[in-house]
Order: sequence, then structure tokens, then C-alpha cells
Amino acid sequence: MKLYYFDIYGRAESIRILAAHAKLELTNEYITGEKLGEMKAAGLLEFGQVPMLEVDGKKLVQSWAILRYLGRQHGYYPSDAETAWKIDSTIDACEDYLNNYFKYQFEKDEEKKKALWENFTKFLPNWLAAIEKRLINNESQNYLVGSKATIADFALGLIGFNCLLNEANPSYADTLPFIEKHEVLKAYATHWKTELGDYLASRPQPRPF
Amino acid sequence: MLKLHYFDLYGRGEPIRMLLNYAKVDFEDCRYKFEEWPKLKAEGGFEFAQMPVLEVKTGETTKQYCQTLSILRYLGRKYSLYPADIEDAWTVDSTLDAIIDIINGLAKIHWEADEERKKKMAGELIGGAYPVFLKAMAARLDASNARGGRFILDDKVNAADILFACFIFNYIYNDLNPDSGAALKPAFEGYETLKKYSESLRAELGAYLESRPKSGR
Repeated sequence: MKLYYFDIYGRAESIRILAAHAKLELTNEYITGEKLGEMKAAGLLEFGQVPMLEVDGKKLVQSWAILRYLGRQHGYYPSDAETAWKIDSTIDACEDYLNNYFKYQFEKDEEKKKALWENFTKFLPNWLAAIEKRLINNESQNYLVGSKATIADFALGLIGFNCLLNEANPSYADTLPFIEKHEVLKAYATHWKTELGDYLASRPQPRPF
Repeated sequence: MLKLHYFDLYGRGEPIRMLLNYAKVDFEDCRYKFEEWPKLKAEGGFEFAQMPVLEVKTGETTKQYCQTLSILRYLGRKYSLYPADIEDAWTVDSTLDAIIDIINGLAKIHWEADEERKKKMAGELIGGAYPVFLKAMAARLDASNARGGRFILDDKVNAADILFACFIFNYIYNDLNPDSGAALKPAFEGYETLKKYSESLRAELGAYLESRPKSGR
């Protein structure tokens, strides 16, 4: 499998985490903005975007759709409607997080950026509390759903290891106080640092997100 | 017993209403005004403090489902509007994601207060992501047509077709939102495939498009 994406964690990281967890052969093709333009012009990217995964003779796009595809292939995405909804809505919640956080992160106007930070800091406590509640109500606090890894954990891994727990993330120091009181979340993160140990140590670093 | 909680407009609730109607599943359509939202939000009844939320009551238990696309997938699984095959599922998943990207882009423009930035964002969407999206969707439909199918995957409507129908009939062919139509229609109608697709959808959705409560977005 070949994964085309920028040399950041970004929206590709859940896919990389799954591949590491499942011990799949994944080659990262780190591309520049220029290379993206070339690939778009050559019609290699269906929606003009990366990540794109070359797998099984196909060029798959849309990061969460790719994660679901690999999840189904490798036993990380149960198909019963109730369990799948828990997983799907966790992914959607992670997407909400990314939209909110990146809107702030990429804002160039200082005034607007301050207002977006206010917005993000109102969003974050509710988000963390909701995710933690799901963990508490689950049969295991090491997994978001059930008693083994699913793509929901890989989606949360993206948020945790790209942003909240990434010391190189520009907002790391500012978001740390928000996690402080969430003991269950912290234990979940510690568990996953162990479960992904080798991968986290060997991936390119530092990266801001 | 099903209850849907959302604002009194199309927005992110309409795909769920449309799917339930298409699947002939009864539900209570709870619509809220914007003014009611702060109190509702503060009451803390909704998991991520957001709507839409679908409430399902079975006997004594009431369960809450949040997140628009997740609700669509959940109902899709329950009412045979979501494929099991892994490749077909990728097609449906990536279609859902691609459409929601465009809808999110339109929402960002709608909520942008600064006129300059608003114009710039609209230009970028209409000149960039939107044409690429249309081209990709037309190609997917062409592939389905070649296999004898009228819709995104085959000859059966699925959850992705429902979301696409919302995009087409809420944002493009919506008499209450002529500006949106003016911006989106020309490029859309440049593809015979897409025009034919919207006609097939209109036929499938039947009376619902006429009888549903109307809104500008």
C-alpha cells in the first residue's frame, strides 16, 4: 500500500496508526504542495485532495472512508448498526474537533484568531467530557467501543497524538490544562502510548500536527 | 418510536427526514427555532451539545443518536440503504464525505460576516472544490449508468443518494434560495449525467419534495 500525503501527521495519521497496529506494509509518499499540483493535473486525485491510498489496484480517497475500508478489511470496524454508530459518531466528533481547531490554527488575522481561540476553548471541555463519558460507559476503558481496538480508537489517536498530546503542537501547553482533570482519558492515552509504542517512537518528529 | 430533534430548516436534519420518509419509517419531526437553542443546549440533553439528534424508544429504553452522517449510516444499515460490500461501502462513504465537504464549505460562507472574506471563500469554492466535486460525481454516475444503474452505486437509492438529493434540492433547485441556485446550477447543469440523476431522484422521492416543509437552506 502506498499512502500519498504531506509530511505532517494531519488527516493521514489514523490510516498510519491502523497500518502500524495491524502490522501492514505501508509506504508513505510524502508530497509537497508542488507535487500535489502535479498529481491533480495528472488526474490522480479524484477530488483533488490527499490523502490518497493506492491499495488493491485502486486509488482510494477521503481519509475517513479510507479508514473505514481498511477497518473493514482488518477487523477494526464491526458492522452491526449499534456498534457501528458508536464508532461512526466518534469519527464525526473527531472531524468536528479538526474543523474547529484548524479554523483557529490557520487564521492569519490576529483579532479573528483570538475570537476563534475563545470558540475552541468553549468547544473543547464539552468534547473531552463527552468522549470520556463514552469511555467510562464502555466495557473497557482502554477502548472506545468493545474490548479491542476499532477505528474509533485510531480516530481518537489522531486527535491525541497529532494535537493534544503532541509536545510539538503549537497549542500543546494551552490545551494541557483542559485534559488535566480527565483521569479516564489520561489512562486511555497512556494505554494507547503503550499499544502504539514503536510506531510513535519511529514516526517522523517533531511535527506540529 | 422515533423522534428527530433539529432546527426548523433543511440544514443537517433534512437528510435524515428524507431518508426516514424514503424508507417509510414514521417519526416525530421536532423542529426548533434558533431562539430556543441556548436554553436547550444548556439543559444538557444532547451528547455533543449539537443537533440533529435521533431518539429511538424501544419499550422502556430511549437511546440517543447524534452526528448527522452517523445517523444516516445507522438508519442506512437498519433500512437496507447502506451496502455491506467493502468496495461499495467505500463508494458510499467517500460520496457522503465529499458531499458534506461541499455543504460545510457553503455553511462556512453563509456564516462569514466579513463581506470581503465571504466573496473570497465563495470564489474559491465555486472555482475550485465544487467543479472538481461535480466532475468526480458525474464520473461515478457514468460508471453506475454503464452497469445499468440510475444512482451512485447501482439502480437502488442508498444513503449517499439521499444526501446528494438534499444537496441538489436544498441548495441548487430551491426557489427560496435563488442566490445559491444561481451560483451552483450552471456548473451542475453542464453535466447531462447530473441532470438525468436529479430527474431520477425527483421521480424516486415523489411527493416528499412537494409536501415537506420548505426552507431556504
